Amino acid sequence: MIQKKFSVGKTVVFVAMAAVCASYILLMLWAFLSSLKGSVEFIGDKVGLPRHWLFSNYAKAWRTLRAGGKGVPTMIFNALWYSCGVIVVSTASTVCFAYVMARFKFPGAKVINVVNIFVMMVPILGSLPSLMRIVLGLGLYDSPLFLLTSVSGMGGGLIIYRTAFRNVPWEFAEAAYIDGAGHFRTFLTVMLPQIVPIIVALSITSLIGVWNDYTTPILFLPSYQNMASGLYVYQIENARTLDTPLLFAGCLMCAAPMLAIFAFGQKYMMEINLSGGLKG
Amino acid sequence: MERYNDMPKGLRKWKYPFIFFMALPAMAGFAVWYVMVNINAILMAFADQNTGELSFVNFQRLWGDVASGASEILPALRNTLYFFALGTVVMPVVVYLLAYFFYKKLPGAKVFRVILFVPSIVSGIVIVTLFTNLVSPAGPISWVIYKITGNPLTDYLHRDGSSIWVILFYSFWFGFTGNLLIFMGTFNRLPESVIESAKLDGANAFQELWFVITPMAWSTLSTIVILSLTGIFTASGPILLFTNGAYDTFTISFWIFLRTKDNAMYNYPAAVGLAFTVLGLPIVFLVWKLMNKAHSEVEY
Repeated sequence: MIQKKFSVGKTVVFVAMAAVCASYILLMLWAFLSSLKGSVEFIGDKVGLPRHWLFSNYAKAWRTLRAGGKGVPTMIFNALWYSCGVIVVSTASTVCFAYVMARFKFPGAKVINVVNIFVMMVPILGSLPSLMRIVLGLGLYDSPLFLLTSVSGMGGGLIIYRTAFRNVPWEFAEAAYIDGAGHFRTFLTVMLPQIVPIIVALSITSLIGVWNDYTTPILFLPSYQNMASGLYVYQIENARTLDTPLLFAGCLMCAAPMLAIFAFGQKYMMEINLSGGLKG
Repeated sequence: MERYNDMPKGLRKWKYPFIFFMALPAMAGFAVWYVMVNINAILMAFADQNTGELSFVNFQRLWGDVASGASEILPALRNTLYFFALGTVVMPVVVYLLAYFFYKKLPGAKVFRVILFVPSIVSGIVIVTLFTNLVSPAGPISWVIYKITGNPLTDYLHRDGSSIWVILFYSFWFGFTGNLLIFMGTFNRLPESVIESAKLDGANAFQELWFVITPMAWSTLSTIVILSLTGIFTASGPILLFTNGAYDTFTISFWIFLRTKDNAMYNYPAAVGLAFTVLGLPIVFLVWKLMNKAHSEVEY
């Protein structure tokens, strides 16, 4: 009876999950098929296959889809430098800090740990207007120098990297010291390479997040719209004359790079995520 | 943990300069982008927008807005509570149960896991754009309904009262991903022997989940709930993309976002943020306390 109940539960969950997953797939499939229609055809037929498969819509979107006067190539360029910049700046500052937190005793380290938990736990709501004022005051608004706001060393990244460094045997560093390496060389050539897989995994996760982030460019980098924020601006600017198949083509072009990374690296990403769960 | 004497004598004198240089960027970033930003937020909240004088004028205005019921603040608070319920009660519980079924080898679990991950790979703007077109009266669902019933789908997204529910439904439907993997990671590390012995003692699936697995996974569950709660207070969600706050869909964080985006009168939003932070803090600690009380931590 108990086994039967669980089987009923499993069946219900299976059907629900199948429905959810089917809806995701159908949504993407519908968007792809619609992106291949002409705009007039799309208005008249929302569900059928395209009469003419207009793959040229993607070339047209590449050429004509503009947001804030910027075309798709510029938006992709902005997305690239911003994503890479944020990851390099934030990872470098966090990894350096995590290393000394993990491997050196110094006054204040325990306080920093407590502050880090506090920062992660306590939501501070009114900081956005203040951040805007400081960014304006420092001349970082609408400038590539806005990347400086990514300099950080607190939060979940600190905990993950600190744990990673603690898991590297200290004998590695001792051997390097004996061979005459200093602190920086030991860090750069011996300890840092040991955690490269974790840095790569977290960087991919961050890359997806930053690539898809639309609020930061809208708020702080209006002249440097990326693909995600550009699609929002495009819809606002062309609300009355929106070419939906073209918009869908743009949406899929925005999604394609991250989907490709996911397709090639999903097994690795899943394993990293699954093995990275918090200990119960 | 490394000890001072573990390094050669010549390196000992360089220990603190090394720590200083390694920690400097992170500490400087924290000092500016957290400490300075938040101190400035408090000062802004108490500063009159026009004169710069420190006063309670922004809080008086907030109280007036709330008392009169005419501003967007009250609906925003109500909507924030909806997201609060979804993000800290509904989603963690649903995703936790889902992770359990996946852990118990639900048929197709591996495929589901990969597909459920897709919404977190694709930008919100893409999913929202497609979803909005899908459920619009001119969309394919409406087209099918029209063919069957002769009436198109009601535009629930662009209507007072129903709009926020459409957004909540969207947040639920596309929100299974992230924590699922964290829960599964935790479940995968639970000692099999404990679960096996519970089975031998005749525990059913519910008893196994509630009395055996949950105590061991409790710290993960409580951490997820607390972080979800923190996120709800600070993230503005997909409202910008769906309605830009129209049709009574403001949340507190989105209201602050929009006021920051659209005008230079930052002091009032800072005061609203501070007021709701002060109100939100006890909620965070209460939830934390309740979570800690519900199950004592189990070592394994």
